Amino acid sequence: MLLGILIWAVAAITAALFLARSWFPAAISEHARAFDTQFHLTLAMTGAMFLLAQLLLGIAILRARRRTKAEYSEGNTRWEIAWTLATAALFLGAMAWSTPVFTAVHLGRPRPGALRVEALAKQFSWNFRYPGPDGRYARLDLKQINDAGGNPFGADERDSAGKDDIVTAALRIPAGRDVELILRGRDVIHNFFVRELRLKQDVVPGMLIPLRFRADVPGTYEVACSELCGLGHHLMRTVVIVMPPGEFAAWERDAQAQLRQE
Amino acid sequence: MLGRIFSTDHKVIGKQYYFLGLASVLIGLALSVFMRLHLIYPDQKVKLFEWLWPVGAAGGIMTPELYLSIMTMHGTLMVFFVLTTVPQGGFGNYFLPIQIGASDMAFPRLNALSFWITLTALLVLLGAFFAPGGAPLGGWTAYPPLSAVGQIAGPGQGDGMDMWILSVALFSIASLLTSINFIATVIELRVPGMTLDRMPLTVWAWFTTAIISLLAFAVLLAAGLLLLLDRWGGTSFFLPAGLVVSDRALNHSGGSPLLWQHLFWFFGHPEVYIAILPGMGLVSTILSVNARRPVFGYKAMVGAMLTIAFLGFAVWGHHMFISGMSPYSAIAFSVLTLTVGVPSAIKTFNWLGTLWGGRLRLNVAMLFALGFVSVFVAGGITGVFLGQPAMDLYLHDTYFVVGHFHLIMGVAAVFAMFAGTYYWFPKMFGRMMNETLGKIHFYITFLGVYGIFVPMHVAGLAGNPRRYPDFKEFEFLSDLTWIHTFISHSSFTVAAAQLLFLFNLFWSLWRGARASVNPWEATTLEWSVPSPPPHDNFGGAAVTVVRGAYEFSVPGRESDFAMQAGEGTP
Amino acid sequence: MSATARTLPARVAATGAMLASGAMVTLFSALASALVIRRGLGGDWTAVALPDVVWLNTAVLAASGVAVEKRRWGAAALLGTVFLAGQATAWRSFTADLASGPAAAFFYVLTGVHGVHVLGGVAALLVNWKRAAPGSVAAMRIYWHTLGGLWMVVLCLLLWARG
Repeated sequence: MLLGILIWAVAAITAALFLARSWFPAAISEHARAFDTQFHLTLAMTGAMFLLAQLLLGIAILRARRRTKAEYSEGNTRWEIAWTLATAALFLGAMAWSTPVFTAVHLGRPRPGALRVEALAKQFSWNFRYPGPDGRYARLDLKQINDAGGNPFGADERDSAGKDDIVTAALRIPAGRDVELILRGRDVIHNFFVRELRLKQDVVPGMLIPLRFRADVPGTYEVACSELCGLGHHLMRTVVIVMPPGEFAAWERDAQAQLRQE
Repeated sequence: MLGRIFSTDHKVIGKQYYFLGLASVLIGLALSVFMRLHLIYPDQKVKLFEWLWPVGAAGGIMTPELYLSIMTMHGTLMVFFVLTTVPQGGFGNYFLPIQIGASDMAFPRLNALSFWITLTALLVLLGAFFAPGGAPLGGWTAYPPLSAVGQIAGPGQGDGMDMWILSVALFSIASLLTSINFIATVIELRVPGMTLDRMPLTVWAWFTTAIISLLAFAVLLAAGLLLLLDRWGGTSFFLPAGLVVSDRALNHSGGSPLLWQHLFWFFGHPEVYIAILPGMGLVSTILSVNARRPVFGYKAMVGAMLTIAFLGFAVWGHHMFISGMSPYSAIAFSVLTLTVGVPSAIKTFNWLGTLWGGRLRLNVAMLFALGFVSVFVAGGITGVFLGQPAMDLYLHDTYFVVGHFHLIMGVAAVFAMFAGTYYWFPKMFGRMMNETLGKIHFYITFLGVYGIFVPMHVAGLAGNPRRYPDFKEFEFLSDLTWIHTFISHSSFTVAAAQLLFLFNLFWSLWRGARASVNPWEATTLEWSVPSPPPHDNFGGAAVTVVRGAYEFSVPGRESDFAMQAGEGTP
Repeated sequence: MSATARTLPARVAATGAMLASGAMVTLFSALASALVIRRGLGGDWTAVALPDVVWLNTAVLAASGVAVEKRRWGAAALLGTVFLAGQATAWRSFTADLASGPAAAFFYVLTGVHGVHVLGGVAALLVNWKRAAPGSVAAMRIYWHTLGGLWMVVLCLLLWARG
């Protein structure tokens, strides 16, 4: 008897906890808002199924001793077919409904004028490089990797395409413009995760994986490594700084000027 | 004495597996308590940590690498030596032959060999704690390159990682031998009258699980071999060119870290079903016995199990939505994943159908079976989020996932093991367990696990990554401290409640009331023989089976249950 | 009554051998799919020549299969041992070492894993040398012919993987 009531209580508290507040940080992109909509749709559907199942289970327990003898039944084919079809429709419907949210990220093409940036993940830090006005990166030479000397990518010093490459520890991007981030790793698997963008992508050594997004709310957002990468996994933090376009252009100009001075 | 230890009697081997699993679960539980303690008091000096790990916790403060190796060992112990071992190796070994009327497994010596290999695997795994550098820190999934490049990737990734691979390989071999034995036993040794449609759902579950194991562990073995060669032989199966680890350039080329993930999850996803199917079979039986009603939709239950086993091999890619795998594959895996949710839902509805209109006997085994249904729903329904690649873009590797798989694969399976213990203890040891202690144990555990794993979901919604030794580096994580404090205290409560179980178990072994042949008025064959059963189970008597496994409250019959075993023609 | 002295239907051992074969086929399928995927990654796949002795070994293994059919357990075990010795020769005469490239690595993995299973088969044949239990005849045939079939698969994979 007690169990029936406890099951209801636990189910109610679970539902209340999920709905107590919005657990997500504010969304800062079209994709993030589409994600939130899809999440809440799925939450409504699964939440209803969860509560219904726990409700029925509780009722079954509370009625435990109402009868003197159990009622004989081996099943009910009609009911079984009905709930099979209903769950199949709901589950696959949710999946079909959410597919565009995924494909927009991974199959969409960046619009012309997208900002290209390369990210490098290594135990246990992040670096980013911008190709500069020439639009080309320096070619890489592993032997020239020098973290202390400011060359984590191992850019070939002899390659003139690298003269205007900016290398940074934080990712600065302009608001309202498409970004194509190419993820590159050099030791173990890491993961680039920005909560506010609702995006997460593994960084796999040996692969160059593109991630496309457009943030539209200026601010500073934390990047947390989300694939176990070793003893400093929990320290592998950087930030995405989304800047108003004007400020971003000014930052780029300053950085180029600084490069020329060096 | 030696004859008893190295026995080929399936009942002895079943008990050996059970106690091996019990030892493993206690170590695994202790490790999880250490983790939860460290997570909420990362700077607290703990004497016990220093005593256990003089290097890893010098001064009583757990290093991040120690935390990660404890986490890796917790996962490996629980997945292999508890969730795979107890339901199948323990209960399956003990009761499968009896439930089909056989006097032993098809290959008794092979059965004993499986157990001793499993024990060796466990000792090798625990030995990793004592290896130079300690136990591996790469998680139970052992993703390369972290797992493949040796100590330069982290302490524990040297000798400790080798021991881990060796242990898992030994475990795989033992599981393959066990599976061969289980399948052959069900196919060949059923007594007359034990037709497929009369088999208890437990037997169906062990049988299906053995088929899954046979295929899955062979693949894990292959993957482990290739990983060892990458580590020792200089090959490049999983290692690409251009690796620079700890400032050292490595001489590998052309391999793919994703290849490991494909092979691993081809095993790893079916492994989830290896852990849960025997529990599903047992819960179906216990609900039916204690509701005094036949299992609702027996054929659908069998069909759902077989469908799960079949589809279970086609959904591994849902662990890799954000791995860099082709987005088209992701969509295909997503469709299959949500499809495999349907047979699980069917089972849930059929359990409710079994209870509806029953007259329930709320003994401890029944409470745990009902608790199983509740946590199975709670843990399963969140799979509908994780099965959508779009949702996984945010939720992957957060505490949402930790909450999800612990409820569905960990807690649900453990509830089934508790249910199995309270249900079968009288048969295995000839004595009853204490029901009052059992009920206290159940209620604390039931509320406690919800208190642990539901808050984990919302921490995950807030973006909390898993496998972090502390949450100090990130601003957004400092807001979630109160959730982790709550989770940790719930986990301490649950862990303490298990002492009640241990006390009940061992006290009842020697002091419990004598058990009758059939204390639960159940119908399957094990309840027709003495408690505990004699050496060859049926005392040489010819057994025949005359009816299905769940004939309860059949109209027109005097007794509300009818035994499967009977005289005359089957 | 000891468990081993029980009289079991003769087909139990055969069923066990079928299941063991199933596990072996799965193991080799995993390795084969790893090979196919690994080769598909491209880039560093270098050509390697298969040692000629493998053809001789193939003939020896085929002969051992015939011996098993004729229930000449001793002869089959001997031929199995010759096969293993021949495979060892193949390893020694193989020009590329394990770390030299993926084609070479798969040569060692596939022949090595196959060899371990042949070794087990030879041991089983020796146990049956004097007297074959009723069930073990069928079991031995199943196990040994699976090994033969798998060898043909391995050979095809290696030919395909040469370059």
